[in-house]
Amino acid sequence: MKFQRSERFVVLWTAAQPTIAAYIRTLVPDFQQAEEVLQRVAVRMVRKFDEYDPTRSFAGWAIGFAKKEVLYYRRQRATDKHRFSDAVVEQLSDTFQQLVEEADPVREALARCVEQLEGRSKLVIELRYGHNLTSAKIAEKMDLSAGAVRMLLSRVRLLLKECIERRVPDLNPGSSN
Amino acid sequence: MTPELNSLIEDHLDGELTDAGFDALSNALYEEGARREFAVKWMIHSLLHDLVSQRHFEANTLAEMTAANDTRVNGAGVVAPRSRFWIGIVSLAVVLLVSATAGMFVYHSFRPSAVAMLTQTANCRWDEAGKVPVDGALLKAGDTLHLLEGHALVTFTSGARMVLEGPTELVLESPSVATLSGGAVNGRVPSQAVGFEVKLPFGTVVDLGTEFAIRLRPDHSFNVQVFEGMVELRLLNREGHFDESPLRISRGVAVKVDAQLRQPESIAYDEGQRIVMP
Repeated sequence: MKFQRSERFVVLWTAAQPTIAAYIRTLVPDFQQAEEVLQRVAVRMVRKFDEYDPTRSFAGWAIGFAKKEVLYYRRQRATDKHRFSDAVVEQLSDTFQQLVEEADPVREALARCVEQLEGRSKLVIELRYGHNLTSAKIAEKMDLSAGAVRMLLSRVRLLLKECIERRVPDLNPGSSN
Repeated sequence: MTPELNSLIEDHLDGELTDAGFDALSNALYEEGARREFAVKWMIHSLLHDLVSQRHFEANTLAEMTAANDTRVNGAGVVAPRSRFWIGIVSLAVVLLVSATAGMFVYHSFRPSAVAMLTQTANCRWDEAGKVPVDGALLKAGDTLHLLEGHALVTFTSGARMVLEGPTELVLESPSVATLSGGAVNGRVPSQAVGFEVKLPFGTVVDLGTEFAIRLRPDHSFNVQVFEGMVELRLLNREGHFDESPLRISRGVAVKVDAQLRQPESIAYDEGQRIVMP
């Protein structure tokens, strides 16, 4: 791989990484393990980058690699309790490929929507995502029940989704919530 | 979307789905609309994780920097004559507004940007001629860490983490570039920070999502060990140009580059060369 080609890879990877990460995290919900799978995807893609056809979507190409790595990861951890079938993994890869074009506008919209959060809504998002706490731990800090925290998180995520959909109408056409 | 499906997806996001719930969700995902809803919610969940965790780190660093470089507009000492009370109030407000605006402009223009934080130290002795940081210190672009003894963990705002093993000298150039002038470092770079560079006297190690160690000797010869993933080694030739074809070094491989020959040579891979915080 020539010097310019590897720089090109880094640029393309940086743009595609959020979509690929989301797809892998869907199927490997432990974020640390998902990160390892993501790194393996990056390495495989670097090796194969000479074969990349620049007329095709890079992120779509990457999701193909991610699907293979996820299936490989799952075979190694056959005892995992909650595993989607291979058919669902396959179908989800198609769904995420359809979302690839929307990842950038969604990310921009999300950043603006998060800025609008206030009070408990802001706090629960900060504790869940900034501190990576479970509902039970958040409940202790906010003096609420774990159930109330789950309700609050669900409501705030719905507010954020609606806020994003107002800014990115193509994200979920025809959706009511 | 039904409330039941919404509830299943929400529980899946938080890792709190029951076995029965997981079966119900799996069945629901065969339907295209449900699958898209699931994917959109996971996309937002994943982006939220990246966005908020990054902001959390940056907010901490910015808060500490602000405390260290606080430049307040001081309005004390302005006493309005009694007979001109309202004129004084309005004048004071204008002065404060202008000063605050100018202050913010100056602050934002000249505020040095944090590129990393010293997140952990162990038995560290620093060269007192240079920066002597403490745990939690913010590190700006251009800062040089000269560690004489011990181990220090530096976390870059890009997400890359480096363990320094003394004696080591490292210059922080940006959130994704550091220059190693001497010593040994262990880098761990998450996928969002792919492209992180460690500059060496006659080359650059570009991370492609991995964990690696570099040991740079005083004569500028160096070893690179790759524990996970892959790095790319770009060597500078004697004319100061990068070789056109960089060397990719994969997991379980180690190379040595002699300062005189400037040619990579395979050496025995040694897992024990990994540098970790004690």
